[in-house]
Amino acid sequence: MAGTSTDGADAPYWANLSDGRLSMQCCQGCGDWKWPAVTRCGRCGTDEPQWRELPFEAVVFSWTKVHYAFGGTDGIAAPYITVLAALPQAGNRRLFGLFEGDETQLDFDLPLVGRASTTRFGSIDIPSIRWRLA
Amino acid sequence: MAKGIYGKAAVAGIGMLQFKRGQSPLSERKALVQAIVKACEDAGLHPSEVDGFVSYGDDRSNEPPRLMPELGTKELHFATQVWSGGGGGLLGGFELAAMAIATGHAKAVIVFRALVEGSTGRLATAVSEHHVNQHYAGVGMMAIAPLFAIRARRLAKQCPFIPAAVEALVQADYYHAARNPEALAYGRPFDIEDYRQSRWIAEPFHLYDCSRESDGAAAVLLVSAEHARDLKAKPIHMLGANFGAPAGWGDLLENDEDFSRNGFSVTARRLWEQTGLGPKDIDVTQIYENFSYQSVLALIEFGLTSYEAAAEDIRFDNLIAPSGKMPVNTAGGNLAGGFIHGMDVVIEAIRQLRGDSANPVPDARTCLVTGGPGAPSSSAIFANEMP
Ligand SMILES: [Zn+2]
Repeated sequence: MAGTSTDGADAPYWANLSDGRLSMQCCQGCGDWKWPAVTRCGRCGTDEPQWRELPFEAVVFSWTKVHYAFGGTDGIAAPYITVLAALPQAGNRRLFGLFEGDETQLDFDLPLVGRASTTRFGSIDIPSIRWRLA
Repeated sequence: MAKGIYGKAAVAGIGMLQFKRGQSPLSERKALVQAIVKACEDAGLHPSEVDGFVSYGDDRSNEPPRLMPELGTKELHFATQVWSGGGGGLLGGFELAAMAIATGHAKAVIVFRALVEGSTGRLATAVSEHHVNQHYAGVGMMAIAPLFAIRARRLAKQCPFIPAAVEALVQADYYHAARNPEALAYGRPFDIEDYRQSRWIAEPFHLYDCSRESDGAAAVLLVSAEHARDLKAKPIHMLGANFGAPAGWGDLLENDEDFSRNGFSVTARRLWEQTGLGPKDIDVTQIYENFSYQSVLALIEFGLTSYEAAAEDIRFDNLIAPSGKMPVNTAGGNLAGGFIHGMDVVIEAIRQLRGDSANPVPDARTCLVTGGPGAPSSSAIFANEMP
């Protein structure tokens, strides 16, 4: 893996998710939601944008059902569905998650609710989100 | 923008060795050295005269100084590669080579890519390693295919013509490959039902939506336009090449701004500025294809067609040589021809303009080559005469 995170700027995200809480960065200078996490807001120049806690609420932006057992997915038995979810309360920034529940109803723009979980990866458990239809 | 490299460099030689994945009888180093020697022989230039090397896509094994003993390199003046893990850097390599030649920093530059699974492992794994971090690993996004599948599904929602256009492109690739003895799918009958019935990789991608990763090596020799006139092969001029990304694109955990695009806007605009040409001046196009859906977008983003006209223009009959109005991927493309990380499409551009393609486009004078999708990307225009 290219590092375990995006250069450490997202350390609070991982710490909070491990605690069952969802958080993302929002610039205190210009109000722009930042994702991936950054050390400086490129829009207004503010250093260290603030972290804000968010509800696990999103809408379906897109998804794929993965049938092929790619290396590194042993902890998730194929086929599985990965959802890219847009968070209206975070400027529609997108977060991944594994989908759980009834996939026959899955469609664009439907509301999702999520929960914090973990995914086994090699010898570690990576915090990750599970999304299901609201 | 600066037209500093316009027509300054020309392709004087090409060399490619391609095998089915995992079946190369040669080590990666040996395949690469042979490809470079072939490119030099094609040009009639002694390999020891090559003084510059460029690669892209995270080549970690074939550092140019290590090639010197095998090529007999007299002096090394230029060795570099383009940032980005995928094929986005493909034509950026040609831009750098031309810049070095135009400024006199190097005289004979090889742009290369080499991939032999038995030596350095799967390309797909290497590309994934470049991009994948804990955000991806936690949700099973351990390869580029499912990531691009997510983009493709959204793309198809925003552009409903896309699935039919994808089928036309895949069919055109296999049509050309079936007629190209060097293509991996040479002689293989292909029916669109084969495509539709093929197994899922990551929905909406079937097996045939994905590029056929090959073993092998490819090398393209560039020299100045003047120097090329004195060499053996017909010079193929490089009118323009560039690399770049617009704002809102990059490795952004799938937060790229617009999933109905590929981030080609910067490289496309600059290519037309650089060359003074427009889409109507392009006779044939070679598209870098990692996946079919994204390749269709290249035709639109480079202006060969539009979102409005795409359903009408991107039809099988239009895409094939010699009769189509918008011939693409005349060697079979990366889906059916072969995939040494995209170098295949550059090699075909040169062959097509020399009149050596297995699927010739009558009177082709210019060829557009587009790099990997999802910015940064790159593009170039080659021509067999200066306009
Ligand atoms: Zn800001």
